[in-house]
Amino acid sequence: MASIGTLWTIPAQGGGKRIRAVAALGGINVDLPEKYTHYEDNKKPEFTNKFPHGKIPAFEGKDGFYLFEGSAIARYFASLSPNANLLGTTPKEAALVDQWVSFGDLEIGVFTSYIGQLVAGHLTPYAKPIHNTLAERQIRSFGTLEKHLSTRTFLVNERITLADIAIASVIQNALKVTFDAPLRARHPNIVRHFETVVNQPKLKDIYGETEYIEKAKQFVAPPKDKKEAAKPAAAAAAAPKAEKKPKAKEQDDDDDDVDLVPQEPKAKNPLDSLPKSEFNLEDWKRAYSNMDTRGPGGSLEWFYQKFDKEGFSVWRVDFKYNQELTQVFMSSNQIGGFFNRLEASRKYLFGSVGVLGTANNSIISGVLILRGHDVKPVVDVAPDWESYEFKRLDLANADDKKFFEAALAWDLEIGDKKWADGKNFK
Amino acid sequence: MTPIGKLWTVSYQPTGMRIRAIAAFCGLSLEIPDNFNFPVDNRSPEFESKFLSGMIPAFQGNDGFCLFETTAIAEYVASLAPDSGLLSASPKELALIHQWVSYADTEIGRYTNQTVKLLYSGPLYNKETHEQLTGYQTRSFDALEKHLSNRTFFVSDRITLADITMASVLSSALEHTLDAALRAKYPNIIEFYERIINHPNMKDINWAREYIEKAREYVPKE
Repeated sequence: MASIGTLWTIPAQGGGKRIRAVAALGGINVDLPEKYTHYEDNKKPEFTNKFPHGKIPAFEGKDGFYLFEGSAIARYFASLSPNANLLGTTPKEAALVDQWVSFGDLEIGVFTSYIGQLVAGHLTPYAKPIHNTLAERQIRSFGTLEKHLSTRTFLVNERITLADIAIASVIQNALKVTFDAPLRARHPNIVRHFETVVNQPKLKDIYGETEYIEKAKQFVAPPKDKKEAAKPAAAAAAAPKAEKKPKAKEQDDDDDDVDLVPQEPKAKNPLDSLPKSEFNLEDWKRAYSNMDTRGPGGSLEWFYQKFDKEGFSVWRVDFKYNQELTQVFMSSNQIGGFFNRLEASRKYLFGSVGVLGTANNSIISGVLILRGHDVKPVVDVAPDWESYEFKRLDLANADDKKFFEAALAWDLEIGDKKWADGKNFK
Repeated sequence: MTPIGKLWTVSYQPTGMRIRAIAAFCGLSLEIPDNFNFPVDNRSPEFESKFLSGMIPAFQGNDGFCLFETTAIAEYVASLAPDSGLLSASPKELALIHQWVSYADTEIGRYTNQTVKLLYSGPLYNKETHEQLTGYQTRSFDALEKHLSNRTFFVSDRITLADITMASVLSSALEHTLDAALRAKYPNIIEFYERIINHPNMKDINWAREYIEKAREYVPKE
């Protein structure tokens, strides 16, 4: 039979397996992509022109029919082979097929996904109460399924339907994360049903090997690490590249779950793509900390020798709402807070910013040394960045140079306001 | 009009509302049991003997047929009125209807639900996760706005199950996340929503008609 088109998916994707299983039982021939790299190819115009939301599974019919959403594709394929009765034989049976597919996804599948990501530290900071609540919800659903299967071979009628395929897919994922040995012992009918489905001759290769976890996955606190690594977004970025197949599966499972994790590796910061620079910001931070600022052998002298104005730029920063400032120590704390919120840009930024003046008559001003020539990508990690004004400095200009040096040396004066206290971001 | 069956739900349940809207559009009557005490009665042996999952919405037809899960009930009710046009006899058209129903739930409704859960999770609230969810949902709104820029309905030229489903998830979003600032970017979405909810057959359904001014934010409990 001729192929009806291409199913864009990856082998590990549960939602894709489900569709392939329907195709296999329905005698439908569908092509899988020869070359497809998820997180990359689905961002390209060739893909997004057909499937605007850039998600998989996605179906491209030979006749130009485009379809996304895994559940829609599975049902469509099932409807193309009515003799296989994968949707039951009556409207009521079709409704029951829908019911179990939905139940499997919403009352079992999502919990596998959430728990998987939770214990891997991807979704939200791990919290045992959340884990317990999710686990309990899922166990309740296992109970429902077990009860239903205790008196029947298949979910809807006497034959395999899309419901059985979908539930088997959902259980296969749960078996890797939560549906451990003790739970399996309490839900033998779920296990029996699962093994019946995945061992169907036409489906064995599609479902592939199943990992039966001994003990449900638990949270393991990561080793002491940079803040960036702890961030869910960055951690999720690392995960697709991880060799461990189970991890990749959790994320690329079911259409919904591919996206509980950010689709693009967030680590692709444009600042990392700039041409290499000889100026090393960490060396500068060390020089600034260890040497006097002004004078021979000082850090300013070091700076002028080493600075690469192609790769970096210097900026003046001023707080926009100085009329709000009251006590000097509070304004100093404000600078500290702003610097805290710039933490994500630590490797791209150095700052020396101070409070000038006296209580209720002060301003916040200073300088930044940052990667590239645009301040926004470096500072907009801080939600309050727009409370400050940024002006590029030209160190060939005498006034700018004076300002720069004074801010670094903490002896900056603007008008009648003298530097009272300051903070460094380094 | 004879009801086609009973629907166990609560008035504020958006998925129940969706089913009621579908029935109303089709000119079908649903009986809503009013002595139903949620979330207690749905865990009773009597309820769970009919509806194994113990969850609502749950539907029982006049002929005794029992069904749970919103998408299953929605489609089944729609199938009882084939002339309504909510579904389709064309496999491709039906597939597109299912596509948008699924999209509505997974790319919009899910994020509203997760956000609301997060906002009420007390000390377990996490700003980053909240922002991530908002980002995902906003991306979906962007896609919807674009899709609606040159069409009146989601599939073909009439109201289908996709449109009613989409309106129901938008209704929730308009009460929690789709605030004034965002709405300003999405005139097509709002116009679509108001077109659906004001359809003569569905205008008495309790859709969201007062939209949230500012997206709900976390309020730490002292």
